[in-house]
Order: sequence, then structure tokens, then C-alpha cells
Amino acid sequence: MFDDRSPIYHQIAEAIKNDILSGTLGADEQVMSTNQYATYYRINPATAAKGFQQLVDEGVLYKRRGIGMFVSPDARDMLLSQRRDRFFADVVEPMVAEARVIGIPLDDVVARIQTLKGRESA
Amino acid sequence: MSAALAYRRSRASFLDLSAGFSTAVLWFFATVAVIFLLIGLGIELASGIDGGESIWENSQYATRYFPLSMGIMITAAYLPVAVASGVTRRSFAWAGTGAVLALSGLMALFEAGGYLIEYGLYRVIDVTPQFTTRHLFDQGYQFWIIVPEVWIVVAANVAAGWLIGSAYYKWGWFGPTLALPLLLLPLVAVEAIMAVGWAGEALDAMNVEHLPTAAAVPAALAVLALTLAGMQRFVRAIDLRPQKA
Amino acid sequence: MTLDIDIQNLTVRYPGVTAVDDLTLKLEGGKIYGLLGRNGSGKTTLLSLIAAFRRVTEGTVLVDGEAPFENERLTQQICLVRESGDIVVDGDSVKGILRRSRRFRPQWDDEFAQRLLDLFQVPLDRGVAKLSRGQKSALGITVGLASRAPLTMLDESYLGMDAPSRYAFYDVLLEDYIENPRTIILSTHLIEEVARLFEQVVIIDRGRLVAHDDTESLRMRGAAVVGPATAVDDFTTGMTVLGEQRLGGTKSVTVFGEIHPDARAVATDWGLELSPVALQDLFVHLTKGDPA
Repeated sequence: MFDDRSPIYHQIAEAIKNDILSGTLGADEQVMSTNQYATYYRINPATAAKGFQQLVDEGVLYKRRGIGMFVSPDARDMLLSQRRDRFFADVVEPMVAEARVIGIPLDDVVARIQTLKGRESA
Repeated sequence: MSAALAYRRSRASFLDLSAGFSTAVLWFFATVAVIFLLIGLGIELASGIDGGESIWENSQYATRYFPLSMGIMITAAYLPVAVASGVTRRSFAWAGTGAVLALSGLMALFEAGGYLIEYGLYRVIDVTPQFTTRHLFDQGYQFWIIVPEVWIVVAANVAAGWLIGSAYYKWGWFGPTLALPLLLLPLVAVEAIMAVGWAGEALDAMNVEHLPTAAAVPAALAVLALTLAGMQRFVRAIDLRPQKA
Repeated sequence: MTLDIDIQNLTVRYPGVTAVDDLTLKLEGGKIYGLLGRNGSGKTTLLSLIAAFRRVTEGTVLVDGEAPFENERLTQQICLVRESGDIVVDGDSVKGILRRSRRFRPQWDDEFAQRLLDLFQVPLDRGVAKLSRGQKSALGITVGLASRAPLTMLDESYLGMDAPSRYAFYDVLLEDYIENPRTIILSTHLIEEVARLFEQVVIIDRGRLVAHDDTESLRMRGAAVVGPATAVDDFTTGMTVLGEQRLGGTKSVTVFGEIHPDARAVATDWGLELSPVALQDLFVHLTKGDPA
């Protein structure tokens, strides 16, 4: 489930965000408690709590005292817009850089995108 | 430090020691009873009792040295267990003192009981048991003298075992082996003051006068109390050994 | 209830060896700590002093603000299980050990102990001497956990246990820690499996404190710099280099310490790859050298 590439709490936050983006977790749905999460994934509860806290701070989750944590109603929209903002920086620009390094003309890349687009609209 | 807590922990440690020793002690009683009362007395009675010599008296060394060997184990086997279970050495030392007194007390009752049974059996055929070594009592039924005599002497033996065992646990085998005469000093002192059994014979052989009973008993008790107080201090200074792999 | 630990300038000398060397360490209550160190690094000695198995001669050890040696209030709340168990007298049975723990441990949970022995398949009626190495370890763990001591320390306690038993132990440990929060210290040199259980990690080497940090922060403080040898060398000049490896023109250097975002940008410019290091690797690098 987790790897050594980044802090575990960061990976926990990412995993929950992915669940929200994919619709596995809906708006106002209760998420697993930190303790459940910790036992389930065999990680320290404080680490799990840190991941959850990060999501609360970002407004992805909200707390209801004594009950637990829930997905914010606008969490999905917020995450989608964040991902869209990051899309060009995270995906397109590295792709272009890589294409340059290995000598693929950008026109070829654009052509390929056009083909994919055509297939989608067909 | 609350006294109630110290008492509770000492008591728990004492019960743990008792539980550990109980099986061995019961086997010991059974064995000694069979050897001296059943077999020894059986042969003696069957052969018509030659001169009325006490057979049970021969058990007096068994009831000294077996408890002494148990005393050796008090620290060696049970101190690590107590400390690792969260008992302080202070509480453990009280438990050890309790074990010394309890073990010797049991031996005293056992001895007194044996003498009483022997006396009864001998009286059936009109003989009175005769003792070959010196004692504070002169009749087998005098349990009120037998009990304190055996109690004090055996307690000194168990305490000596405890001292020796603790010294070996703390310093390993070399130093304590050299110092063995020194470690036995408190025991020898009590034996000499009480002058019963082998010590009485030894003093007679050296033509040394015995202390009168009225002086001997308090003096022996004082030495015993000093020994146990010293053990109390000594045990508090013992570190647990690093573990054997 | 949990207990905190405050150690100042602690030194322990054995004949010919300094087992603990001027160690200062503060551990807050209520966390799970990993105490990492190679064999002979002083882990057991350190824990033995905290648990009042030994007297402190140089420096101070405070638990909950008081010295634990001969302090009954504290010792009954501190439980250290060393490798093969100090709680066993020759001839004891598993049942006898439970009886003993029930007698000595104020928070002892007998039901939990039975459940653990069941889980680890340790037979109740068997003599401890006849148990396998793994079963002995499991018995030690059982006593350590079921004592529910506010300060629980398990020293290399799962040696000889097979993987399923070890994972069962990790699960039970977490579960019970969540239900009964307490200070737990696990000493180990098998880090990979347990690293994620630790909130904080303490690394000691040759009796000295090498690192003490949140597990995640510590992990992020190490980095492997990979790229062309000359660029890697230039980049890592002045950094704490823990180790290096070379394969042809490519070099990988493990560094320890914060890497400033500016430096990260430089690395990217130079075509260097920066990646975090597994705790196990970091530990190996930090404690490399001749064994003590």
C-alpha cells in the first residue's frame, strides 16, 4: 500500500483524495477513523492522524465532534480543480521535456493527441 | 513511599517465593519422614530399641542443609524474577527475610513433630529417647524448647545460604569462593552460641564452655537479626546480571 | 496513563567497554518508540536502567519525574521484557508465569494473556524450558502486553518468531495500544517490518545517541542523490555523506540532513535524482563502522 518515496501521512492523504475523486467516497460520507485506518494498514495512529489532519486543514474533510470525519460537500470539485491546475505542470510539461530529450518532434506528439481525440469523439 | 504498597509488593514476592519452594519442601518432608521415621524407627523398634537412642535426632542436619540450599536460590533464582516483575529490591529483601523465617519455622515444627511422635512410640514400650548430641531440650516432648532451638539454628543456615547465593550472584564465582569462610561467619557464630548438634560437640572437643541458654538464645537472635538486616542492605545493591544468550 | 522518560548525560561503563556514553534523551509519554541499534550498541543496557534492573551511576534517568531505581510506585508500572525473559525460574510452566504476572502486575489482563497465548499457539501446560525459541519470545510478548504497564519496553522480543506470528504481534500491539494508550518502546534491529508502527525513532550506536525524531521526519532527512558521478560529487560537497555507491559513470550518494528547496532545484537542473531512503538503509548508514 505505502512506499518509501514520501511520508506515509502524505500517502494516506493522497489515497483518500483519490477515493474522493473516483467517487468511492461521496460528499458528507464518513471516512474510516484514524484508529481503524491505523490498525487496517498497520501504521502508527499518530501518523494516520497526521494524514487526516492534513485533509482537514485543506478543507477536504471536516470533523464532527465525537462522531468522526466526513468528506466535505465541495471536496470533489476542489480536488478536481486542483488536479486540473496541476495537470499542465505535472503531466504536460514533463512530457514535452522528455520528448525533447529523446528526440520526438513535438508535432508528432500533437498528431498523436489529435488521433486520440478523434478516437474519443468517434 | 506508601507502606501499604511496600507491604503489598513484599507479600506478593513472598507468595511467589513460597509457591516456588513449596513442591521441593513437601518432597523433602516426605523423604525425611520416610527415611527417619518409617525406616529408621521401624528398624529400631523391630530390633527392640538398643539403649533408647533417638533416631529422629539424625534428621537435624538434613533440616539444616536442605533449607540452606534453598536459601542459596533466593537471590540467584528469584531476584531477577521479582525485579523484572516490577518489585523493588527492598520489597524483595523483606520477602527473602520472610522466606528465611518461614522455611526455618516449618523445619522447626517438622522437627518438633518428629520428636513428639518418636517420644510417643518409644513410651509405648517404656523407653525414653536419648540424645547423642547437645540440645537445649532434654526430652522429646518439649516442643516449646525444640521449636525455638531448631528455628534459630535453621534460620541462621538459610540466611547463610541467602548470603552466599547473593554474593555469587553479584560477584561471580571467584571472589565469593575465596571469601567463603567470611560468608559463613554469621552462621558459625550462631551455631557456636547455640552450641547444639555438631557445634556443641565441637566446643566440647575444644573444651570451650557453652553459654547458658538464657544468654545464648538472645545472643543468637541478635546475630540472626544483624545478618538479616545486613542482607536487607546487601540485596538493595545488586544489579541484575546481563542476560545469558 | 502513560509515563515519560528524561535521560541526562547517562554513562554506563562495564569492564573494558562503555556501554552507554553520555546519552541525553527525552521521550514523551504515550507514544510508540522504536529503539534502533546494532547488537552491542547499548540498547539493552539503556532499557535495563530505565526499568531499574541496574542502578544509575553516572547521569540521571527520570521516569515520570522520578528516578525509578528502588521506586516501587514506578517499578510496578514499568515492564521490560528482555530477549529471553527474566521472569522465568527453572522449572516454571507457562501457567506459572501467568500466575506470577497476575500476582505482580496491577493492570494485568488475564483474558488478554490467554488470547495472546492462543494466538501464538503457546501451550499453557508446557514447561517454559521445553518451548521453542519463538514460543518463548511469544510468551515474553504476552507478559509484556498483558501487563498493560504504562511504560512497556520489549527488547528484541520477537526473535525466533515466524513471519505470521510477527505480523500477528504487530496487529495486536497496535490494537491494544489504541485501546490502552501507553508508552511503548520496541528495540530491534529488524526495522523494515516495524518502522511504520513507530511514531518516533531513536537510533543509538556504540552507546551514543545518533538520531531521535518522528519516524517520517527522520526518513525524509535522508536522501539518495543519484546521477553522473561528477555532478553528484559537486552537489554533495559539504553535506553529511553516509555512504556512496558507484556503477560506471553513475553514482549514488546517501546524504543526511535537510535539503533546502533551492538545492533541490539545483539538483533538478543538474539532472540529479533525489529520493528518500528507507529507514532500514538510513539506519545501516548511520550505524556503519566497526562493531562496538
